[in-house]
Amino acid sequence: MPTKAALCVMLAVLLLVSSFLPEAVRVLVAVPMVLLVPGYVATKVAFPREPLDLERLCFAVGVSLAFTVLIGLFLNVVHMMNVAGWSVGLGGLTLFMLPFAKWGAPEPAPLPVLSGRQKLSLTFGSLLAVSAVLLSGIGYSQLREFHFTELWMVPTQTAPTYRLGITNQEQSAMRYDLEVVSSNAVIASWNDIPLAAGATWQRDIQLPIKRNEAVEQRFTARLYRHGDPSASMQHVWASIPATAAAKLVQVGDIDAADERPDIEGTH
Amino acid sequence: MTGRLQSMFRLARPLFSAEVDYPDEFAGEAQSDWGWFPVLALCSGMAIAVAAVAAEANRREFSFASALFYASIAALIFPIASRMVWPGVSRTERIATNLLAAIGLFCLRLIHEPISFVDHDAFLHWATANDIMRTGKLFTPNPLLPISPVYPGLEIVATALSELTTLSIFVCGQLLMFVCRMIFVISLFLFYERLSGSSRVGSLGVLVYMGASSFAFFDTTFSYGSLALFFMVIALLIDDRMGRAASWRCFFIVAIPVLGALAVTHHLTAFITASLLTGMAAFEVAGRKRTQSFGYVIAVPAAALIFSFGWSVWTGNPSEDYLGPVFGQAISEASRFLSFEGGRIPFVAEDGTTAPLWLRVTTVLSVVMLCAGLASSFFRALARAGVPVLWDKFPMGWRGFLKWDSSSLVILTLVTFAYPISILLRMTRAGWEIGNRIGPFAFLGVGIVVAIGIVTFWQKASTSRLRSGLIGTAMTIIVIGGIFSGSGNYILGSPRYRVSADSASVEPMAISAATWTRQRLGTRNRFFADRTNRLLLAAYGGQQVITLLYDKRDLGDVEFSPKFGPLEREAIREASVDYFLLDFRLTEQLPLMGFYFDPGPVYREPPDPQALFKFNNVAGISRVFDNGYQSIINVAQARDSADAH
Repeated sequence: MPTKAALCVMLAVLLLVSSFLPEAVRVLVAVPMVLLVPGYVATKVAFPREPLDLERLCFAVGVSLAFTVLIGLFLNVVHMMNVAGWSVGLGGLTLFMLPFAKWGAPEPAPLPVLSGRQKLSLTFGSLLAVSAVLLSGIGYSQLREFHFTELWMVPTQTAPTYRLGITNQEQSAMRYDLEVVSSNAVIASWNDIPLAAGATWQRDIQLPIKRNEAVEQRFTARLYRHGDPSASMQHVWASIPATAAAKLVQVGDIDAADERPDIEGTH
Repeated sequence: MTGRLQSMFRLARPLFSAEVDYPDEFAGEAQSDWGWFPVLALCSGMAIAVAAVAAEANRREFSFASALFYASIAALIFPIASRMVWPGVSRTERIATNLLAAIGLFCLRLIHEPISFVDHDAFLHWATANDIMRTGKLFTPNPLLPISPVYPGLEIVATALSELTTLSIFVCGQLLMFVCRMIFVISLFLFYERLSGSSRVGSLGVLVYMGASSFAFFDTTFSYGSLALFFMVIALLIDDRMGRAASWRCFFIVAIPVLGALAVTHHLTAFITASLLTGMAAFEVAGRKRTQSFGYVIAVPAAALIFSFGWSVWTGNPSEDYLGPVFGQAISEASRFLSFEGGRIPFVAEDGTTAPLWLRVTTVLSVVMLCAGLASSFFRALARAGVPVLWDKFPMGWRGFLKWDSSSLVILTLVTFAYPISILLRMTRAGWEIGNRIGPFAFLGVGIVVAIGIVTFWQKASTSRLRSGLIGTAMTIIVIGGIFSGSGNYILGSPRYRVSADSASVEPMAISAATWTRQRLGTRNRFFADRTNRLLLAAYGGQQVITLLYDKRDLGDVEFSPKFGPLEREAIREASVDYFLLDFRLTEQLPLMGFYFDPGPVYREPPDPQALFKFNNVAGISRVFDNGYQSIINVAQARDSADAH
């Protein structure tokens, strides 16, 4: 068996077992198997004994991508658009075509040899380009126009428990004060919450929702910079209309009496 | 008859009388060496490094950043173009240098989008790819671009790569675009080379093609059109191969899969490819020179027509609904523009910002140069195709015109008429996008026709450095003009957040908010947000966003209305909205794209911030998230509340 045919067989078989391969090996196997190999084998069937010149290379990549699209349509029909489906589809098709391929084509004309100075130019040029792209990626990822803090309050599965959270995106360590209030009382408060840059703090709190209240009940969480209670940085609230209150309390009574981790609300 | 025609064209005699034989250059082409390629690679590396410096300067808000970036493009293209004009350069060097230019422009694209998607269209297709990864199925509706799941070729390949390699869709998308771009350039070179019989024309044609407004950036975006263009050029190359050495094996094993994949990848490209192939076949039959059987002539175009229209019909003609209104509006605006009833002011963005003078001049110059190139090359290209249009070969009767050697070259020469149409459409608001999209197809003709003109008229066999430098400069201007036409002022992105400015509106805070929705609210909630935030909500948050295109509702009026009354409540009930993402930054600027949500209302000033605060006092509306600039409100209880009745 010619070396190239053996290589195609090896890649196709490896793709069939790709789920069991380490990630780096999967990349090395999958990229050529999606972008080149099925089309390459197909050109060996379509143009028997013709060398892999530029035209055949273009056809090989084009047909590989086309096969991938068509196999995807088929996998969708048989509900197998997953790793196993793709492995069987691409690997199987390659193995199926291999017996029909005609090998033994004359080698294409070799590329001219690069002199030492030419190699140096090429290497240095490539290094410059790659480092420029990588460095601009680093610069891009460090660009932060807005420094901000996220505050949220969302109902959990166990109503009337709500989850409160703060994420510090101010790009420096911060200290916060947080309070949760209703229309006439402070329900909970936390003083001096230290958060490193990028860190998140969260707590579950049970809101004292009254079942038969005829008017809207509103619970507001206000976030302050530590020691600066003059203006809140952010605030969020839960507005419970009269019709929804009974439902929320009922669900809480039935389902979540003993399943409220880390609840810090005071009543 | 001949006399009358001759007197008609007397004034334009120079255009008809030039020789179209290529100068003596083949001695050099037969050599096989790398020539200047390694040195040009070093220069390109330096140009890319300068581009990276420009990008960093842009982030630090230096005013020279944009000029430096365009200078880096000039530094990349000028030496390559000047070298390609030169006669006697080896074919190997030409191909390698063409690839070098393509790699260089791709690196500039990576500098623009280095670590995650930032372009508008990429988000549309990323959302479809995410749906495929999540559900394991095709055709899940995508409200951002409903036609995208119906033409899923790009997303199928990207998700296949992602599933098999475990790499992210972004990495797989960039890898796919890079490979497609390289093969595209080689295929186009081979196609041009075959049609013209000269590798010099081939390489110059590819360089001129790089002046298409969408080549450098848009056509390497993670978008279905990018992959479809790749399939299109492969299809043209296959058709050419079938013309030279037809075989049914080639047809069934190579042509059928490629045409099938093209049909399910992009509607417009599939239709245009089918039309081009049909035109070439029709000219082949009309020219009556074909020695091959009729079956071979019509096989490829017939398959292209059957697949493209078949897929469109099978999927319920979604392209008709999608493209119909866009073309209709563009045509009506173009007619208004032609009758001097107004249109888009060139070089002025919707928010009133104007491009720098030097860029305006460069862009106008690029159009002028292309028109001059086309005017001096059109008949030469027809002559190369074997049409007897030259002065001394003028036919005696009209039947004499129906003789040519290369139907493909005749068709590509006629395709150049699409170039002025694309320029006209770019002068209109509705047609700008179509003008931009026509570019890649129009330039298929423009590339080879202008290249034939350069080789047979402008440069010929001259080895004058001045002349090649001037032509290199012209080609550099064409490429820069094209890039500016496609990307505008914000090619590097804005260092500051801009309202409704696509990539200049995508920044980490909005991404963090969208990601938060996925983590804390779960996916598939019905969200309404502005143009940029809904991209992020769909792509990063996995939310079901409400759009005019899919839901036929624009809730922008609800968001910007001064009061929350019964009409607003009814609107959110009818649209079944769960959440609004309110971005208070919208109240600070006019939208760069002309609209905050969907095209329609025209804004003279930004909305009143109080309009967004109106939700604060509505019973049943909860604010679940706040970062000081954006808030997310839950309107589900207010929507379903009995109080509303």
